[in-house]
Amino acid sequence: MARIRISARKALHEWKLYLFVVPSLLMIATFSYFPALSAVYHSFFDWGGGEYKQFLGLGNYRRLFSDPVLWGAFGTIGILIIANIFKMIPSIAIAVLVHRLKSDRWQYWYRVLLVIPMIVPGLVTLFIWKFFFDPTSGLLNAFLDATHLKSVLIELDREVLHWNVFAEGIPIPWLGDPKLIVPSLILWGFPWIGAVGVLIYLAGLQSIGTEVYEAAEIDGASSLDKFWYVELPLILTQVRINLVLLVIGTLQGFGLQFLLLGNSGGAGQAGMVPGLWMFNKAFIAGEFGYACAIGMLLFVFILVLTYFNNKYVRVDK
Amino acid sequence: MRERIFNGIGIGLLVLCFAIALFRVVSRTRREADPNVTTIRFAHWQLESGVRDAIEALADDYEAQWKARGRNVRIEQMPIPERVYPNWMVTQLVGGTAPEVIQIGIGINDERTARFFSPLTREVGEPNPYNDGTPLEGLPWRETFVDGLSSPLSYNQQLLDYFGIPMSMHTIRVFYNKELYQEIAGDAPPPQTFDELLDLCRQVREFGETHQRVVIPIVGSQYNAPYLMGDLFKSQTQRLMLAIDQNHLLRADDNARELGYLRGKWNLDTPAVRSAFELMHEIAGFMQPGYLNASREDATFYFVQRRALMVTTGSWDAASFHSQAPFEIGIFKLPLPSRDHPRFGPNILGPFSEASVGTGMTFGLNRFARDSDLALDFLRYLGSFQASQKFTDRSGWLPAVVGVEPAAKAQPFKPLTDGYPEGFSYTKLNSETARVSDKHMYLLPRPDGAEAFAAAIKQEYPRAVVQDIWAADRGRLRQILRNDTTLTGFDALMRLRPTDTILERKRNELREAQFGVELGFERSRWTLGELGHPYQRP
Repeated sequence: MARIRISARKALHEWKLYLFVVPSLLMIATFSYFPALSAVYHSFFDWGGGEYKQFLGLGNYRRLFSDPVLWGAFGTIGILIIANIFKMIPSIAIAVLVHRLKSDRWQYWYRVLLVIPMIVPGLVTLFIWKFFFDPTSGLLNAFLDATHLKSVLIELDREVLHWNVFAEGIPIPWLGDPKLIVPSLILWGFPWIGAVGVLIYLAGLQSIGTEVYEAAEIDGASSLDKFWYVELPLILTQVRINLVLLVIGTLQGFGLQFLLLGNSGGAGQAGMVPGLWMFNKAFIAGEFGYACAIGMLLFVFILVLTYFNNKYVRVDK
Repeated sequence: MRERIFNGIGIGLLVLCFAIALFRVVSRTRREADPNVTTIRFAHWQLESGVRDAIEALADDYEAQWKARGRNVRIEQMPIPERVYPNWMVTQLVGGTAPEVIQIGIGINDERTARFFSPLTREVGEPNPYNDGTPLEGLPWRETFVDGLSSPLSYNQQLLDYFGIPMSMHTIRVFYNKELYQEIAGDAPPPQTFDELLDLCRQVREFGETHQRVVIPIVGSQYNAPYLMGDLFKSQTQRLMLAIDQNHLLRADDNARELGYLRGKWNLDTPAVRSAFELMHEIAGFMQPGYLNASREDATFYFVQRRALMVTTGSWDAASFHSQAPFEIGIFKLPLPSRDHPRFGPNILGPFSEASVGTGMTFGLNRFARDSDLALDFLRYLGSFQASQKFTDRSGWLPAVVGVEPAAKAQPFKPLTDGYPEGFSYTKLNSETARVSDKHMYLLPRPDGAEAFAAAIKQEYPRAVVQDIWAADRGRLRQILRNDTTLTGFDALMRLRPTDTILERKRNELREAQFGVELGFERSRWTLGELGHPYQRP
């Protein structure tokens, strides 16, 4: 769209119209920018959350770089980001399968079935999963015992993993052993079909015209070829958006770890992530200034990742 | 047509829900806005069974008394879940919408106390009018409480004022399922010694294997396990505590423990500490796998679902258990090893005395309350002999007021005052040492648990102790800065009112407190410097 130049005089002539924008700007300034700027300010102080604080200069930032727990947490989050990228695949696959259903009625009902679980609050789902992981009465251990898959895990542990976490007659402590915490966090949400993701991809797929499919069929494309060469390229915009949101959400988020493992990140702090460490430092240790500095570091990470994503993960239109 | 009907139903539901919500909000705020009714809001986090009913009964009594005097008073109870209470309370206080009477204890620090709560020093020095006609008539209100209001929640040692009025006190006990116990152990009495407790746990294990049932001997959780582990650790550090108690307080305060560690008076290899780890390992093996990840509710669930025989918790959970459990519950005090125990006895002085158990469920007065006189009057009522008797009868909780007879169901929780001072608490000294301990606690139940736990925390523990002392010193420094400002204010006021003796007394008390804090800070800094850990700001 061509840029239209408006003279400053003309713009200022209708100055009253700008007043309509002022309330929104004030709200954004108060509830979005002010807390962020306050966090930047307090990151330079030893601040216990009250009125009194001591200026430290870069003291909190120097401490950041020698904090082994924080860098360990980044390691954990790196694993979770990679796992979450793979966990996008089932949503894409389900969206493609639903899209390819010939019956519109069945497509509708599958969409409804996908949306219904969204009614359940996320917190409830987390607590249900916590129950699944319970060593003594959880569904997961009961399932493994009933299907004898536990003996497979025991064999795998003995021959390959050498973790010594799976043993006959002893319930598997999914959230109680450091070696099992990260796998449990990855397993959470199985089968990883997020309703919102599926609906977004479905919307993208439905914008593909039938003539594209007809052309592909004429060219002799198989089902898999259609997916790789027609459907996936045309929904890459949505995939990219979801990827950015996923990376930001995983970096920032700690609700999952907090609810499943508590504020210390579970046994051996294996589930500690930067967001949870920030929470721990603020509300458990009372070091709000240091927590703000951790927040600033997270902000820089996300900014850098977003920059690289925008620059290098392009989708040719 | 059908679509219109469905749309209409949807819109109709929305409008109906909105109307109901609006009605409820308007009817609620209308009561508050009524100029003929004075509302006192009363917030707490005690959602345990029986407590809210007991408070409601007290509120009804209080309202009836005022009605007889010709004034409409309404007490509005605001129970808030414990998990969100600190955030809720701070938000309310800062936002100026806090209730008039607030339970204090979690989420509170000196700064918030000084800023938002009214000191009650003068009031607690006078008799409570609600004690007239009772054995406590004429006594200063402070003297009518079992601990003389000496607990940290009641009397703030930094601010030198009384801020809290307690309603209860608590002790820790082991609760057990009597029916299940009968199945497993028959008519044998509950365990009286530590070895009998271990035998019982083994019997439970065998019972579970024989009957193909999941029965946990003692259920643990993040919430419950520390009570059990804490007592076990303290039993082994009784003699050690006397060795590090330089101030002869018969307890090891924070500085004594931490500085004692740095001075080498104790460490993770000290025989008493290793013995404590062994003791904790013995019991941890009888808790369910992954117990550290279980929450308080999970432990309760296991217990009332008959999947666990025993659970250790405070008297505050008794009423909840009684109301939820479909079986009879027995209670006994945790039997610790005795002095003549062949393995753990050498470190022990004797059974703990519960004489120093402080009061709890403490309430403070919002400094900015609309009707502060009435709020204070309500607090006086809550802290009176009559109200305390009613509270214990209804809730089954122990009373905090002298002379009040605990209800029958609270009798098993009466503090047993004969005994010896406890050892120093668990390895968790402050937030960093707590983090290091929690990180490796999962190792305790393993076959080599005690050794593995000690080896794992050894690497990080010395640094964690130093960081905790630094954190405490930073807190003292903040306190000094705050007090300096207040002292400057006092000096300025004294120049304006040189004959004000109350002002002078408060200034002198604060100055004395300031000396104490500065002394503690300097002593800590000097000791750290001497030991090679000079005080560092972050």
